[in-house]
Amino acid sequence: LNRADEQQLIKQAQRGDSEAFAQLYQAHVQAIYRYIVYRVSDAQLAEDLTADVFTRAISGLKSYQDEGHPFLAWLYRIAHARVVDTYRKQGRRPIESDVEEENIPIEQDMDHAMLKAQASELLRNAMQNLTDEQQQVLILRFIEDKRLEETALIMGKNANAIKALQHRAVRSLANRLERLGIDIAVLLSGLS
Amino acid sequence: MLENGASLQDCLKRFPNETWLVDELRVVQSLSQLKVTPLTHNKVELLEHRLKVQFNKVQALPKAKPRPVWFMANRLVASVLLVFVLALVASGGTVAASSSAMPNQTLYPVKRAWENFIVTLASLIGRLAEVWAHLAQVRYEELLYMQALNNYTDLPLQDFNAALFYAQANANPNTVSVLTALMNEAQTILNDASGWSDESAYVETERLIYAQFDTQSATFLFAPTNLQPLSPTPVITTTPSLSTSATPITNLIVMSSSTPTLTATITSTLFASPTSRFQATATRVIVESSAMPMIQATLTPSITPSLTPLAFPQGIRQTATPTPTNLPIVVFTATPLPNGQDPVSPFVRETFEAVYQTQTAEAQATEPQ
Repeated sequence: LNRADEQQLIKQAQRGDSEAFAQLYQAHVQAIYRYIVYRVSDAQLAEDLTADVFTRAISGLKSYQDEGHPFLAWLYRIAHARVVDTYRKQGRRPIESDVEEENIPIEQDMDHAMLKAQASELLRNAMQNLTDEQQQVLILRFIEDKRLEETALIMGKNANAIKALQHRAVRSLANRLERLGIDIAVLLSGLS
Repeated sequence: MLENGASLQDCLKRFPNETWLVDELRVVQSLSQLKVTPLTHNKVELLEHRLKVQFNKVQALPKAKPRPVWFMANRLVASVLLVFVLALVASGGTVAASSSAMPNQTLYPVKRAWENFIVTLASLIGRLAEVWAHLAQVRYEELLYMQALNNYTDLPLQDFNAALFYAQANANPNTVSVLTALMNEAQTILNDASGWSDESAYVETERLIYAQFDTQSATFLFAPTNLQPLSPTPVITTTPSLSTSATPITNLIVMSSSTPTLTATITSTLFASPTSRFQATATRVIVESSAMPMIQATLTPSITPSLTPLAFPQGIRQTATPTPTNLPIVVFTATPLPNGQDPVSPFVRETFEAVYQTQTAEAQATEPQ
């Protein structure tokens, strides 16, 4: 979906065309779902929140103004707000908790799929202990593979701020994995 | 990050000075390997259907009405009130500090301004009686304070006068006892009238503190029984030589409306009888509707054959002429006299002189030769 098509669909949806909105939904639903599932680590909750994001998008569509940013950037911002709101309602998760988790070691002789799932789980758990912004920048930059400028647009910051934030996020995650006793090289090999 | 399928090791070989970043690069590479099972097609379709229903619902909703003008007006009023309340809170300390200020103190104007605000509020909620009763007490305490300092400036007296007036005018059964006690106490204090130069304020205050509460009408009645006469009351008995059966009554009312010239009412009653009494009385009374004292002279002369002893005050314009047989109520209007002269006193004085001459003539006529 190129930018011009997206702008056209937005205008049609704002005029009440449900099919146009359906096309926008189809174009972005997986990205939003992925973003949310990385943040909450719960597929069912992620599905509910994804639905909530698009429901809110419908409500806010009339007042949406295309300021040259991608539609997805707006959806990301809604998703981020929903995730933060969910955390707040559930009680904030512990940040950089001193409670050590029980880690299942990654052994080279594990079944590959099992190994990969285990490594993914460890990495995502470690990510959960980062700040909201750190998680957001890691997801957008390295999982969703967004460019620096696009990430800056989505997060409402400038590129330099994103660079600094990204550096701190990677450093924090590495430290966290180290504190958990996880060998990053083994982790990487498990994910490959 | 890694181009053309190069491994991390290849990359580090190319940039040997950056090996310290190896852990972080591995973290980044690990993140890029993370995979999430996407939403299934069925789930996407199901959610799309739900969203379409929701979309159509939102479209069917009536458009929001533009906010009415009063909404903005209410916001404005609320803003003004908020600012007012904040200002009130900010000035709360000053107001509290001024609550015990006396008329010769700096914060006294703040106290009075706050009282005015309270009176305005009280008028809105129908509690003027209580507020004015309280303020009358406050003014009285200020009066005592100033008296104790031997300070007889007229303003505290005038303020007490005004507060007591409003307290009586707004009195209700709940405040009568408070006011009556206050008035009784004020009677003893105000006995010393020598200090105040504003005689009208003193007299008016005196009138107020001697008022009586009438339970039937639930109002304070003002009786001028306590008022001091301007001049002694002469009582002269004479035997006139006139023989007439008529008992005409003439009320001569003379008024002067110039300020500060006194407003005067002169009532002259003329009658004749074989053994008539001559009375000339000058009293000072207070007119209910005016704060200014009004001079009333009541003359009850015996009618004489000539019926011309009365000298009208200078400047009085006669608008009707009494006749012996049918004396109407005659109203005289007076133009202001120069130099604030009292229009009544000459009239009374000359009447007295006429009476004296009559008596003298009578005495000479009856005196044994």
